[in-house]
Formats: sequence, structure tokens, C-alpha cells
Amino acid sequence: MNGGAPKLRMSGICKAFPGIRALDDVSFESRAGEIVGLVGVNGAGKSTLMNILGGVTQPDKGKIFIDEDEVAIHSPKEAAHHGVSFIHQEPQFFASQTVAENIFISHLFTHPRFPFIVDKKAANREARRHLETLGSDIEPKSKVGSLSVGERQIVEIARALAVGSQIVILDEPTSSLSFKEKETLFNVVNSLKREGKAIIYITHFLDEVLELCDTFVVLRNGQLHGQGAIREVTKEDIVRMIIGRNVAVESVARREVKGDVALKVEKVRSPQFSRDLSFVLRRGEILGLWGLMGSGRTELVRAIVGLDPIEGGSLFLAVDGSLVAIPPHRLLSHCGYITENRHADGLFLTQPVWRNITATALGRYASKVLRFLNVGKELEASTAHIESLRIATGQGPHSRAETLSGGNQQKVIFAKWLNRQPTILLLDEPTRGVDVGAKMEISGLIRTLARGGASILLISSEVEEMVSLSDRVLVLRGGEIAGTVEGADINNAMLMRLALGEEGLNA
Amino acid sequence: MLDYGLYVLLAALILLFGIISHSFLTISNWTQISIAACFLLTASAGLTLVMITGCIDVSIGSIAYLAAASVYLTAGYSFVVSILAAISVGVGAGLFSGFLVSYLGMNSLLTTLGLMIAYRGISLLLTGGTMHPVGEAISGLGNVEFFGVLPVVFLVSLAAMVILQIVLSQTKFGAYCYAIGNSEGAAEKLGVPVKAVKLGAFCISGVCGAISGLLSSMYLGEITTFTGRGMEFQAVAAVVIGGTSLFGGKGNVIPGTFAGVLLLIIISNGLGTRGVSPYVYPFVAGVIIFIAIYLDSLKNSRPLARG
Repeated sequence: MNGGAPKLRMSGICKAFPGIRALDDVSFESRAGEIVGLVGVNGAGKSTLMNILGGVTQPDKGKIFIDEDEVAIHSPKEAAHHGVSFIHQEPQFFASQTVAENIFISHLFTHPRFPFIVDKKAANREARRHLETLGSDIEPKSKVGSLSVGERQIVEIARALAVGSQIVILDEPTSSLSFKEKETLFNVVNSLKREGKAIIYITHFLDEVLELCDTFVVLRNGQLHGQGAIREVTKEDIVRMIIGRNVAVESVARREVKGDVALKVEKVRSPQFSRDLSFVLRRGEILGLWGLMGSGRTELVRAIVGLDPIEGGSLFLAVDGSLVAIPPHRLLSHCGYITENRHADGLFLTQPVWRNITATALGRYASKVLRFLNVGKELEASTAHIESLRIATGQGPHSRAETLSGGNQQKVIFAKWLNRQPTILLLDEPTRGVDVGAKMEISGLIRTLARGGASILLISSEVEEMVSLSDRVLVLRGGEIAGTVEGADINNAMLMRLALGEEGLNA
Repeated sequence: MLDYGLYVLLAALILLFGIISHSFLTISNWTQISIAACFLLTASAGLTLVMITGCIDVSIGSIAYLAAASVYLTAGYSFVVSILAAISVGVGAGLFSGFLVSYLGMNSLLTTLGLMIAYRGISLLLTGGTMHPVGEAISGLGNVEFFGVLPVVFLVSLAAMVILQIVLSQTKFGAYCYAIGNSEGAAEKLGVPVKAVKLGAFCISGVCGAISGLLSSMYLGEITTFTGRGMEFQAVAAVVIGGTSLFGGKGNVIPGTFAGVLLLIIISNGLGTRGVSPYVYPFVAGVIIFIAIYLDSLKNSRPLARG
């Protein structure tokens, strides 16, 4: 865009982690007063590249030049010394301290006459000046703990300005912002640009790139797959670079599920969504819920199970053939819930497998009057599950859950919920972190469950898993349902396009 | 409301004791209160700094005893030597626990719990575990009362409180303490000298514990095996009652910790002026501590969101 030497040049960067080439010969430049959009799907290498610039990790190969001088960045402190500020998704802040103290924590002003005393007036004044430069009217004396997430982010950007950073990295800054806060943030980033900073903006959202950035860099599987000026490309071009030209449209044999409605979500409204959301889940169906980080996928699930408050809308559950309205926080007691967070939410790690399996249906093993548990019956039921799910345990049902491999732990969680014979199962990243073999077995199990009449809501960030398992996929983008995909349309390219927001495909 | 709960409680107690006891609201009784409070005030002031950084120091009671023991051991010399000895004990002990916690990364509760036992053991060895007088010179100084009502020991503790409150609210060191207590990781990333600040906080806490022991030996003119015993837990209670979070990042010496100490002392003094058995005090103090901590948990917890 503007002439002269680039502020930052990263050249031939390579980085490998055990078993994966995270970055393969990536080079790019960034100029003062310019916003570079760094785009790509999860795992494309965006974060690794920026962690290298931010001093969090070291490259295996490659050079970094700032103002055409080669620099070595070994730690976040050294990055700061070279004028690089890294604004993370989750702002770093001190809740009980004021905005001014947060901005100047590493550069506190001292009183002109008493060198031990902090000059709060000067800090407040300077903080106000920096915030005004960014077009923000946040009060420097207010406590950061009382600010919204978006405001905290602005405080962090003001900190970058205050310490005189020349290069500012923003990592998915909008992923936890409301739609209004997003606008404010864009104004702030544009002010930063007018101040002559070189800005690198990491995001999944192409609309943001098109609106905000001057140039773009596309990464895919750790390689550079395109860069240039935003005004010379269309959104479709960038989508193609992100997902690759030759995405094979593999066809999976699809079932068409025409069962009764098991769960109906009607016009659920929350500040996290840009409009009301409605969908149905049928008996025996695997409904995939797909969307990129920040699309509202997690928020939707949290809303319907009552973890976040909703402002309106209702949930209906099929009970004995008729739909009954239930409040969201009651839904979990009617369904099985398997989360990606096995250790915290799913298992009693130090307890034997059999206790884990029977924990959700203890009433069935209790005696009539004194409610003593019949351990023999519990063991019998657990052993049956261990055999039918082929859970590899060292000492049968008596092995402690923590001694099992990730895949087998996940199977124990499945057994636990199956034991309760739920009609609806919510699966949140059911195969994250398990090995390939276990992944296939769990996929098979999910299919068997659906054939047996269970209704399954599947949340996964792996597009392959979505494609191979789902009977129907609900795609979310920007806090709304971008489309529903069925049958042969369920393929990688279609899901990615809808999630990234290429118009005209939502037939 | 919750923010002022402590002060409302304090005012209510003073009013209550003033009504039910004729001797409670007299000048001589408040002189007594100020003397009874000064040991805990000094120790709690330093502890507040440590707790704001998110750590804890339960060795202060034993440091007080060790400092008092050093006063006894130097009884033959000038009182200046005794005072310097006591303060050196505080600096040394504080730096040692600070080093273990911040540079070796040891857990502060367990570290100072161990040191609490060890320091008391050393003191018992040094003193033979019996009562000793500390000498005329220093006990004469400890019993000075300005205008007959303001004890010097109280003025020392008040000075400690004021100085540490200024350190907390007006210096870089203070700002760093709060930052570390809020988020140690973020503070580290943003260039706050986390280890040095924690070391400093423990050193201050050690010195305050030592001064507390010094004041005790000066005022009583003797040291006993009870010097500083159990004070660490009273101090933790007073600091938490005073609004400092157990998780760090929040709190102050004045008015918070000051009011917390006053509350505990007034309870036992007020009950005493009514002739209630001293064995009742710990029970009442326990109830008050529970109420204060319950109020603190109400203030610091967010209600579960429900649709």
C-alpha cells in the first residue's frame, strides 16, 4: 500500500511440533499504518506464527526483521522490548485496579519530588489521552473488574499504545464480544492504524477481514496459500485459498431421518445471538451443530442447557409422544451429556470404573427401604457395559478411571450415560484427544445409538467428524443459523463455505 | 451494604457494649483497648501486604516470639541493641520465607506453617521454655503513655499501619502487590518484578511480626512461651474480616485491617467489662469470624446464572 520499507518481515519461518509440521516456510511483511488480516481455519498455523513473533515459541528456521534489522525474540519480554504487543483473546488484566494502573503497570509514573510515590494524576491524565486517541471514553479511574470484556480489550490496546509498541497483534479479538462491542473495537483498531502502527489481525471471519484489513495472508496446513491486497480479491477467492481448491466431495451414505420430534427449540433469544434461533431434533437422528469459533455454537448449547440465561424462547421435549415445554436448566436431567472436558466434568478419576458407570443411575441398584446399594448388581451391569463397548481396562471394572487411556475413558463416560438409557444425548467434542482407533469405535457407537432410537446433538470442531456422522447439519455463523445442510450436501467444502460466510450457497 | 457490613457491625458492638457496660466507654478502657490491640495491629498490617499478593504468612506469631527472645538475650545491653536485634530477626526470617516462596516456588501456607513450628522451636531452645524478664531499660520505654492516655506501643503500631497503607496505595511496590494478587501470570508478562515484590512483602511481614513481639516484651517487661502464640491465626482472621481477599488482589490496611483487628479486640474487651468468663471470648470471636467470612463469600461470588 504505502511505500518504504516494511516495519516487520518474517522470512522462511519453519516450525515443527512432534508429529506435525505447524509452519512450513512461511514469509510475510507488515507495514506501518496497515492492517494485515491473518486468516485460516483452526490448526492452520496462525497462532504458531504469531507466538513466534510474540516470543512465546521459537522457530526451527527462519528470520524476523524489524525495521530491516534482524532480531531474535526469545521471550515475551524481548518481544515487548522490540515493540511487539500481543493482545490475546482473553485480555490480561488486574481486576481490582484502575484502568490507568492497568495501562501503566510496567511504566508507573513517579512523583517529581518524591521518587517513591506514584503520580496517579499523571497516570490518569496520560491514560485518558491514550484512550481518547483510540476514540474511547472509558474513565481511567474506574476499576477494570467493572468493565465489559470489550472495554478490557480496549484497555489492553491502550497499554500497547502507552508502552510505545510499533507492532500490535490481535488474536481473534472479536470472539467473545457482542455485536455492538465489535463495532467499537473496529474503530479502536482503525485509530491504532492512524497512529502508524503495524497491525496483525488474526481471525476466522472473512467479513471482518474485508471490512477492516488492508492486506491479507492465508495459511493452510502450515503453508502460505495466498496473500495480497484486500481490494484486489473477492470473498470467494479468499474462501478458496482457505479451504483449498481441490476439496474432494466425498459422498457418505446418508440416512433420511423422518422420526418424531424429540426436542424442539423455538425462538431462543440471547444477547449472544444476532437473531432468534429455532431448530428441531428428531428421534434417531444425529444432528450436527457446526460453526467456527465465535459463531455462537458454544453459546447456543450453553443457552439450551441453562448454563447461560436466555431472554426468550422455549424448549419442548417429547414425553410419551407429546411435546412438553421445559425450562432450559431442566434439560440436562432428561438427557445424557458428554463433554470434551473429560477430567473435570465427566469422570471420578480416582474411583473404579464400575462406580463411574453406575453413578448416573444409582436408584436402580438401591434396596427398597434403606436404600443400600447392591454392589453385586452394579458390578454386573458395569461388566456388561465394559464388554459391549469393548473398554480396555487393566483389572476389569475395578481399575481406577485415571489409569485408562483417553479413548477408553471416553467410552466409560458413554457407558455411564447409556446406563441411564437416555433418549437424547448431547455430545460436545466426543472424540477430542482420543486416538484414531478409539475415534472410529466411538463413531460406530454413536451411529448404533442413533439407529437404536436415541436422538443425538453432536458438536464438533472437526469437519471430517461432522461430515461422516451427521444426518443433518445446522451451520452457525455470526450468532445466527446460516443454513441447514442435509443428505449429499453434507461435505467439507459446503460446511466450510457456509461457516465462513460465502453468500449465495444457502439454497 | 456488604462493603460497609464490618463498620456497621463495629459501630453496633460499640453501641451495645456502651449501653450494657458502664466502664466500656471510658478513656481508661480505650487506653486498655489500644494496648490490647497494638500487637495484633502491627502483625496484621504486614500480613495484609502478603495476603494482597495472594500468599499467606502464618509464621508471624513465631517470629514475634523469636524477636522477643532476642530482646531477652540482649537484655544486658542498651535498649537500642535490643530493638535492632528484634528487627534484624524480622528481616532475616521474612527474607528467608520470602526466598523459599518466591524463588523456590514453594507454597506459602505450607512453607510458613513449617517455619512457624521451627521458629517456635528455636525460641524455646534459646529461652529454655520459661518466663524471663527483659530488663528495666526497655520495659520502662514500653510503658510510656503520652498525656497519660496514649501508650507508646499503640503509637508504634499505628505508625506501622499508616506507613504500610501509604506503601500500598501510593507506591509502585503497592501497585505491584495488587497486580500480582490479581493475576500473577499477567503481572509477570507485563514486566512486574514478581519475585522481588513477593520477597519484599514477606520481609515486611516478618519485620511487622518482629515489632509485634518487641512491643509485647516491652510492654509486659517479660517474655513467656505464650508470646505470639496463636497470633498468626488471629491476624489472618482480622485481615480477612477487614476485607482483604484470601485469593489476593483486594484489600487495605486502613481502614480494613485496622477495623478487623478492632472488632476482635472489642469483643473480648467488651465481654470482659461485663465480667463474662474469658473462656467465652474465643467462641464469640469464632462466630464473628464465620459471619465475616460468609459476608466475604457473598460479596465475592457471583450467583449461578439460571434461565
